[in-house]
Amino acid sequence: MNKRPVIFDTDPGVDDFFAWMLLNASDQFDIKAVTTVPGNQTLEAVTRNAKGIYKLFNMHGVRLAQGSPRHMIKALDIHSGHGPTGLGNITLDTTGVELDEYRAWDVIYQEAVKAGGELELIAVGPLTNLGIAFFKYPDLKGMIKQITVMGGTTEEGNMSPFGEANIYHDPHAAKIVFDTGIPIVMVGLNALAPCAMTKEDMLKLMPECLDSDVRAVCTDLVEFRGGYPFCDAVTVAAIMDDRFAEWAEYGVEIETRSPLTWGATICDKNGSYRYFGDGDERPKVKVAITSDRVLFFEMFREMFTHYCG
Amino acid sequence: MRKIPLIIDTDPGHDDAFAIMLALSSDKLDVKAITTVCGNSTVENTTQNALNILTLLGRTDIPVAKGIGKPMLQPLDRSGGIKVHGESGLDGPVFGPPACQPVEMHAVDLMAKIVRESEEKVTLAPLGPLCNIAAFILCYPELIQKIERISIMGGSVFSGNVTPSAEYNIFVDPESAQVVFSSGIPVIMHSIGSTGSARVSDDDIQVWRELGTNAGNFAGELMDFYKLSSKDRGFSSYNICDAHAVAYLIDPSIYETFHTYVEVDLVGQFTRGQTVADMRTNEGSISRYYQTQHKEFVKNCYVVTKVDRQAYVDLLTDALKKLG
Repeated sequence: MNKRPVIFDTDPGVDDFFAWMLLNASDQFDIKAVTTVPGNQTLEAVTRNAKGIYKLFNMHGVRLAQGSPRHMIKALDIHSGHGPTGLGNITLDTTGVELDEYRAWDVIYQEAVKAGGELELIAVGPLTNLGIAFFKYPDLKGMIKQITVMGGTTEEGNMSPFGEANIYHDPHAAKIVFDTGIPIVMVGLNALAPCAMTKEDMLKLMPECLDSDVRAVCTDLVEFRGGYPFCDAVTVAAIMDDRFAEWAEYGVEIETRSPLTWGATICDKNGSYRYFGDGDERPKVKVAITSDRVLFFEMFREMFTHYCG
Repeated sequence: MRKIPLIIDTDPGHDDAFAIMLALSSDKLDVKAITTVCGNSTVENTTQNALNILTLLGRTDIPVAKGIGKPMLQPLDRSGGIKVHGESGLDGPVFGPPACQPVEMHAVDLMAKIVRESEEKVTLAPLGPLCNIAAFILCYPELIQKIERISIMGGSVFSGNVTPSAEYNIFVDPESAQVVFSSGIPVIMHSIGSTGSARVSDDDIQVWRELGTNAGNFAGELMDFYKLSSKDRGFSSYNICDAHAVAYLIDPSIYETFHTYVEVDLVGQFTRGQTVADMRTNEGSISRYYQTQHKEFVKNCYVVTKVDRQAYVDLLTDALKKLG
């Protein structure tokens, strides 16, 4: 079976760490590049974390590119529960890891051309790098097979009543992405709760043989932020196995104008455009409604075996 | 037991007719007046419809006052109303000539007169766009404190109807809605989502038809037409949304609510007309958000989150029985 070529756009981030770990352990994916974006921490901090994770997981041969230090229009507003470094209090060893000579959007474009229409993007931070890529390269939208977004919500938000952080921080970039018409998979806040994982849960899933460095980092991170769902990892899980989530197909609009609601992912749940509005022309986004705790834990168990010493 | 003095502000409307029947059948409510507003149809039509309903029920003693026919800042968008309620706003049932006339007083002035003369605080149940209620608040600020509460059918929390984010009554006049939500008067919001979770079935309607009462037959005729738009949208059960605003006043135990801050969005490209309710429970996020927005977190609204469907239907059935 041909592996799915993917680029992972990330702002590590505790849950980004586990998403990356899951993605890297799966035999479904051929990771072409990892690109960084500010969100859980500044670009500088998350890029440093990305270098450390890259080294820990021995990602040799995968491109690692830095993205935008700022969002497209809204001011940068770093606030998260991911601690001073973005990975709790952990500072990973980055010795010898070099960044790509190109920036995120250029790497995305170059890899899209190479992959001949097969490239998938997995974005688990604000959508700034993707927004810039589609802005700089309008023809890119004909070259991407699928975009998976951790972000948005069909219910309440976290940053504001209806704004989920990844969309809220850069709604304009999100609008660019959602307006491309490329098939989008949206895993938002509403779907995550069943997959909350505590430290005790995770320790039970770790095998004896787990590499001691990896074990130490995982344990520190789950200690720091355990009990929450690892949003980004749930998102990767959702595209590994279609049975992982219950799905709905909605037209989705991103609000960019109103300070009260910007970053809201407005889902046309009731067919309003078709019955009352201007017709049902909007591309359908595949939206996760809920997620599967048992399957998620199984995926983690299997993932850990990939990192045995 | 003292009855609750109530003014129903309405744009009948099939579901409005159910709300009116429910209110008139209840010994807990004292319906002081029915005021009319544009919405489901023009205010001329909705006034006519109100008179027809009262005539049919033999309650021509209830004063009807005609209110505002145009939303605060925008023309009346009738397209949704016509789709759901037909050209007249109450297509389907055939009425004879009404046996009553509207009073010669603006709806807003009649509201003020009733509120001023009432010994107790008065409750409002608006079932249409909030033009009249906003005008009352703007014209008679000294009477605001004599309003007990406003039980509104309108608004949207997690999804709308006319747009994915906005519900019709608010969408038609978002500015008026914001005047009402920010007035300081406690609001109970029966959104399109909560009302839509308590839909009536064909079996329920059959029960009403078999009551053998005038009101039961009328209910059947109303539903014959009102069903059509629901079926067009793929529903096999029906949302009699407006009657919730009244049912809550009769038996609040049917409803669960969440007390929070609601603001109406006036500027969004996709969210204009959304009643933005803060449904978050994480107090840390909430307090940080309101600080950064330089706003105060004021709990101005009881958002209905859950409805006991069967109890609601039973209340309607009892009303149709009692009215005869």
